[in-house]
Amino acid sequence: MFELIVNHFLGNVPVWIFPFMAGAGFATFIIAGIAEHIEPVRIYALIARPISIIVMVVGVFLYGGAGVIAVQQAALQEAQNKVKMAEQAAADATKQLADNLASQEHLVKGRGYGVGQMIKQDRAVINADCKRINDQAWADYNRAVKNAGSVPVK
Amino acid sequence: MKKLIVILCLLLSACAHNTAPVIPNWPTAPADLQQTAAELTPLEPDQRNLSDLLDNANNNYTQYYILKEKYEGWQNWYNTQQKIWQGLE
Repeated sequence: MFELIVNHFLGNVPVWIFPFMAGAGFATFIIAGIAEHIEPVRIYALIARPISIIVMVVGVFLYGGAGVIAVQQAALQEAQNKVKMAEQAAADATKQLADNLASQEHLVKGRGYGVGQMIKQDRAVINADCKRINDQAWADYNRAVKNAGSVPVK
Repeated sequence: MKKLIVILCLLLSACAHNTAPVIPNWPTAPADLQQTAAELTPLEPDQRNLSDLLDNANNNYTQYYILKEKYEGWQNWYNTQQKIWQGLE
């Protein structure tokens, strides 16, 4: 709660107010110190002195807070810029990879299609020596495709 | 007076523990890399020629090469993103 109030205060009040508060507090403290020796205003001086100390301390505290916040805001801005650049670089790299992948996939399919066409052209020659593959070969091939083999027990 | 100076110095460090976190968005991988891998195709019961077997093997090999590209794509994507991410630290 205290932090919230201080942050709200620091964010909504001009920074120059805080050194002014501290300076005014310090000046009042000195003047009140002198005024203590002047009888007609002694009572006011006694009241003003502790108040001036509090005003000075609060002013210094808030001025310090404002300085820290300014430094943090600069660091935050720098970090945000860095993140923005990194996100852009990541998006660019992803797009480049996607393009490259699509192109490679196209090439792979094209080469596969080329081999398919060669097999079609050579069908007669390929099948000349082997009219029909044997059932066991067919079944074993499909097992290999489905990765469904098991170690034979001897 | 010395105590006052020390106290004032301490006060000047007010709120120094406040830090605002900056969390970058994790990038999305290319859509191609997120597709489910296709199954290899077995021979149909009526495909008994050697040329059918070769044709089927060619299709499956093509499928393998596509998956290989995707696999390498994942590695490439991860390494690139890791380098970018590490640059932020």
